[in-house]
Amino acid sequence: MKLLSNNFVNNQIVRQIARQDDNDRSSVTSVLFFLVFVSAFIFSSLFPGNAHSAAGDLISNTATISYEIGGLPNTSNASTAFTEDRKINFIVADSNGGAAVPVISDMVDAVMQFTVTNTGNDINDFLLTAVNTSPNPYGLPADSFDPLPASIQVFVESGVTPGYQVAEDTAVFVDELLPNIPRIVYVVADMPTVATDAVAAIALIAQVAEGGAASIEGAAINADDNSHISPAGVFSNGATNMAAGAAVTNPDTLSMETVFNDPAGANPEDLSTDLVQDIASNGQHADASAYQVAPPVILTKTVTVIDTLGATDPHPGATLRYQLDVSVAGNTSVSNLVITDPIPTNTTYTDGSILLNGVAQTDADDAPVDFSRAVDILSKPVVNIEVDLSQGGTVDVVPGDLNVIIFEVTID
Amino acid sequence: MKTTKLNLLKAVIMPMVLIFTAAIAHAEDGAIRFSNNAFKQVISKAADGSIQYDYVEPKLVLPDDVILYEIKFENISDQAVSNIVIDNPIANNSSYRGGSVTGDSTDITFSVDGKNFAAADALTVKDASGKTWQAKPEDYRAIRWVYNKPLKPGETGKVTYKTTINKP
Repeated sequence: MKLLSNNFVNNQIVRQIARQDDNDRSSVTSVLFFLVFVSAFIFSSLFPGNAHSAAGDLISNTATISYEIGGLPNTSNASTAFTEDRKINFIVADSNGGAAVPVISDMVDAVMQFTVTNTGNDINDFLLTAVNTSPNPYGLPADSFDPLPASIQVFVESGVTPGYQVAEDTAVFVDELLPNIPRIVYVVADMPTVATDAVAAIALIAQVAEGGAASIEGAAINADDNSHISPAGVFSNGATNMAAGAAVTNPDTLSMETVFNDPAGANPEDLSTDLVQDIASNGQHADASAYQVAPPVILTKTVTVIDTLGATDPHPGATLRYQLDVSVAGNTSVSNLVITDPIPTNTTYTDGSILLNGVAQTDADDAPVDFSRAVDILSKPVVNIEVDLSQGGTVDVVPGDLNVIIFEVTID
Repeated sequence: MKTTKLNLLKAVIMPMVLIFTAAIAHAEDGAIRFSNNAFKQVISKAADGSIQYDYVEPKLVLPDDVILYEIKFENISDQAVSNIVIDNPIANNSSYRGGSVTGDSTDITFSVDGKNFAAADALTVKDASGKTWQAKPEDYRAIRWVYNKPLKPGETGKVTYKTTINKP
């Protein structure tokens, strides 16, 4: 479309030049060369490689006939031309690996990821919004909560650093999207206090808009020329209010028409901005993903058998060394994190065997010497070991920290 | 001389006129009335299940649409015309559809560079590594029809082929 408008500009200049006096010709010619140069530059920067916008292109064809009559050669041309119309088509797709995005209760800035791919023949902007939806696109458990009100935002990957970067990924609309090159879009939301396994389904909706100047949000295209319209919507994190399109039926002509060719949302949760399942040819497309609350603490337990002969046979008298790896999921710290592990039946705790991150711990309840103990170490048998990773409520355990607890028992 | 000038003028003006106004055109210079028309192929299924092909004015054209080009020539002089050759470069944004070319009493060749013409099975292209392959229909950039007999006064001829509008 841009190419065509450039052509029109140049053609108009050519026609203006034709009306100029000879005296003016040289200066006008240099202006023309400059404009041609600028157009070529814009063209090459807008359409790298083979990627290009075809909408609005004049498709022209000239046939030549050559022949002889009375021994004399002659030629004649015949041309035909028409305009390639604008096909609006694009796909929103969840790219979270086919599963819900694990989050934890009260998590801030939980990120889910989508792609927007332009499969039409124009270079377009795409307006974005994310809305609560239902059911859970991944089946069970059912959608059961929404992120905090007004916390759902949408940002576009800048291409600088992979993954959502608060400082970099600040664009709220997809800018100048060439055909067939997916752009990554993030939905970012804050979680309320919710129980483990709860699910919040979210639909990302993209609305086609005019391309045009880079970095400038193009006007929404909310109607095509064949009476298809988009429902009203709010996009760009609340900044853009788009009215519903007005149905117009423009006669097909030899100039460019716009044709909404976008598919329907595949499933009931894939909404358009009227909050019903997205229909085909409405200038919008959507896909849904979901947040699912995971336990904030990830605990894995392994056991190693150390028998009296140095082998790994768990016979009476052999030692079992248990290792607990404790980490925090999500991006929120955990407070008052106390790990308790019962001593298995038919085993006896090995006194003084607790290690926290390689540091020997006392069995006694002697905080603040350390914050570990073997419960009933005085009356015996020891019933469980207890490690307070929050050190009496003074320390939060942050995501990414790994705490390793080791203790030993012997088989009776 | 005057005719030549007029032809030159037409050659300059006609494409401009075409760009801004018309989709079809024909020329009447001297002995041959020559026309070139594009139609969009519309496929529909009749009630009896048979497939019907219609060719309509190319007002609404989107990627993957099929375009039929119909090039006609008529001897409007009172003398026979000989050595008729029709050349037609494939339009921009378009790919030739294999096997679609027609032309009674013509020898048909194709070109991948617009200069050298050969029969379809003798055309080759080189890939990026320099390896030579038989050209595929979408590699063709031009078609040439050589009419292999004189065209008598009042006689007409017609050649056609189809293209597909390229995907974005």
